[in-house]
Amino acid sequence: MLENTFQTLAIIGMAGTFLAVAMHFLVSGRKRRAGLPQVEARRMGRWHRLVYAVTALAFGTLAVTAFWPVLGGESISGWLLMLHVAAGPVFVLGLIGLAVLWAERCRFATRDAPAGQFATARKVVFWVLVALGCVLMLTTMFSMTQMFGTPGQEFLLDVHRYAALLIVMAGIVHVYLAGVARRRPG
Amino acid sequence: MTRSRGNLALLAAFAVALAAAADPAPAETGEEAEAVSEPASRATYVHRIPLYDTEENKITPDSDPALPFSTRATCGDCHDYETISGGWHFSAPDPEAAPGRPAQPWIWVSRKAGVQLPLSYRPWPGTYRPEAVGLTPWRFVLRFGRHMPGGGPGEKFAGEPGDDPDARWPVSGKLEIDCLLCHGTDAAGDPIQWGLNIAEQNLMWAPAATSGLAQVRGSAREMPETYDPYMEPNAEAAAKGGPRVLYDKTRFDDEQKGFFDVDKPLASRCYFCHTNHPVGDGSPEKWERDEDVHLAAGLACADCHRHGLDHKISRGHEGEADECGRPAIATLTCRGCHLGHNLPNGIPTEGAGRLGAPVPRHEGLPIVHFEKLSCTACHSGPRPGQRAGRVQTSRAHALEFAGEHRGDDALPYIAQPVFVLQKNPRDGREEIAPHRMMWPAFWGRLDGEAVTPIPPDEVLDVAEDILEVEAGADESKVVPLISREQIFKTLAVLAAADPKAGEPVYVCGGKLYRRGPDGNLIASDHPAAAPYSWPLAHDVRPAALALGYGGECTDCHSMDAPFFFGKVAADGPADLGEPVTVSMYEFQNQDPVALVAWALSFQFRPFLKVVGFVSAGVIAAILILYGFRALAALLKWADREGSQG
Repeated sequence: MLENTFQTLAIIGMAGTFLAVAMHFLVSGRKRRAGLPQVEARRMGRWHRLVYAVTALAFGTLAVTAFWPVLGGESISGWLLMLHVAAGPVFVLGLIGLAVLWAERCRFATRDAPAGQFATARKVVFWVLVALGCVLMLTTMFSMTQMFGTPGQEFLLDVHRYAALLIVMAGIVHVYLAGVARRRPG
Repeated sequence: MTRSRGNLALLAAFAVALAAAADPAPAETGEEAEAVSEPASRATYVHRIPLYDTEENKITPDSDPALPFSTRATCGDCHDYETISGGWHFSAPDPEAAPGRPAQPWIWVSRKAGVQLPLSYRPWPGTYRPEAVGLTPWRFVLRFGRHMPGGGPGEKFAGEPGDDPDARWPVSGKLEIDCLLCHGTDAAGDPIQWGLNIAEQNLMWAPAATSGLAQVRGSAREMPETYDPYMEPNAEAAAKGGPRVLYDKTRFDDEQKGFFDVDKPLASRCYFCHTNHPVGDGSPEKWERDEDVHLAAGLACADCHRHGLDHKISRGHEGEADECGRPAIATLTCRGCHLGHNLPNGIPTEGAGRLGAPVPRHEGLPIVHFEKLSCTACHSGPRPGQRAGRVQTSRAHALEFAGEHRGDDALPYIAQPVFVLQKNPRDGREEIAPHRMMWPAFWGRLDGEAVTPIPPDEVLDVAEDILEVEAGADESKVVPLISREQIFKTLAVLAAADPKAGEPVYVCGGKLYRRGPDGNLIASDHPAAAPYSWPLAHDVRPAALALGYGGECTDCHSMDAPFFFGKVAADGPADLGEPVTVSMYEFQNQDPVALVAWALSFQFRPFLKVVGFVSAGVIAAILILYGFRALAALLKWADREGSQG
């Protein structure tokens, strides 16, 4: 029953997030495009782009391998599980890189200048992704130790599941926001 | 009316009314009082009781001739024999009885004929009906009765007179259920006598011989067809050689009541039929092995394997409560006792710890293991080795009977442990569980796709000179396995004996053999050659000896772990070269490449844990640092807003 509950929530969560960003784009997209302030966007350096790409690829692999069977009412196993486990360390290292490289850019200053590099929403999403990534790491690591008996293992698994759902939803929002941001021409 | 007469009348009326109220006539109430045969007290009822023969005549130790007591008449006086006879141990031939989960079959063994054939009255896939191979109830009882507790084919399902011309039930009597085989706690009670008397066809005398209350001499097998055990023998030979009972008079009181020492069954009585003895290279000797941890903890077999008067013993596997419609036995499973429920998870609930069962923590064990494995996979049987070992069992190898028949190489060949994918009866979920396994070997006729076994006796009738032990061979040694040449010649003889029947074939070692055109045998795969396996649950090892205990994941998740990569040899009673070996993962429908890849990941697991915790620490430090910075920014903003306001 718990598996069915999570399956239902996963479908609702992801579909709801897609729906929300679609509606936001339709409602506010035109207005934004018409009156967007010119944003000074600093281009990502080479290393930034590499870390971002690797992390995004690992994130996508983890999300697909985890939720493909879940959305179908199954549990992850076999080759999907192995791919998920293999992508995990890559995501961990990539997330550290992102956190180190982007933390300062995503700092909430006392005054966000109109020409601030990243909109507040993107900063929030960044920190949510990092925090949830940390939760996912810790739940996995702790489950590999002998600190928890079966009730604790079930708790860690539940936290891991729901944190994964939230991070996927945040990832959808991040992709949307990254696509909406405009760059200054020239 | 005077006062005295009036008083008398009143008194009489009162007495009548009192009598009517105290003892209502059964016809008026329409009910009959139920006889309560078993005391409700937990104290052992001392069975000092009269003995009766099969014709319900009372037996005294001085009777001449003294007849054996009948358990139906003696025990059945208080305990409903008919209800008891529906129990698991007695009901196999009953077509109305539920088949239950497949278990160890009876195995017809003939080393000379190269046969080890699994038989069962129950419709278990992979076994054959005894009558299909010429085993009438009479023959079945003589062959396997040594490890049957009576009833079944020896009594209720013995067949009708005339069904079997070889049956001698009028001479031997029927083999009644022997209650004392299980419930007798008399140190003088000897289950060996059960088998010895059945071999002598003293079926009616077997319970008395086993009880400890009497000795039985003589042999019904030596008696003519006209022998009547209820009549005075009219021939000297019958008088001297016929079965006779010698009761121990010291076991009878002055009222001619005999004393039966009866209590809850002892483990030693269960062991008579349910012992498993590992054999082969590296197998520990009997004194080196520990008993089941439950017995070591002070439990008895009957503490978990319980029943009511119906004798439908709880077998202890999940789903049994639903199968049998008896919710009370739901907690007499591994999970039921230790976790308080039978769900596919390892989380204890209220009710866990029945009979003092420790509640396991399973620290560090991911939950998926409870869905994919039975409890016995990690906790039961011998720890798996690179090759499955061989085991001998009481029923298959007559372990209790000493003799040359039982060496390490004795048939049938049974392998253990073999980790097989099975369906959990509770929810149909597939799980891996340890089994014992045998590969059938028999002669048969191929008709289309079906193979029908040929009774081994028929094979020996037509091919005995081919299958005879070679002249000069030491017959005191174990008979050698049959050779390819012998198989080929026997198939030819069988084909000639009945050309119209299906093609004769020989099944052995996981293959089906036919005669080839060039004088060689042709081997092929066939469902009839598939192994037969049954779940094992004992001996349960202590927790510290369970697979994976102490975080040793590599007990199973390593590249040479016996659990997945161990080998099982398809041994058979024929010399066909190196036996086919099957890897455990083939019995589990697992992909070996995926198993190796998964096992490989465990090589890096310790490193992964270090990297993971350090990484999480770094990220947590960043979150904390910038969290405080965000808090500082918030406080400054609040101060500014407050100042402007």
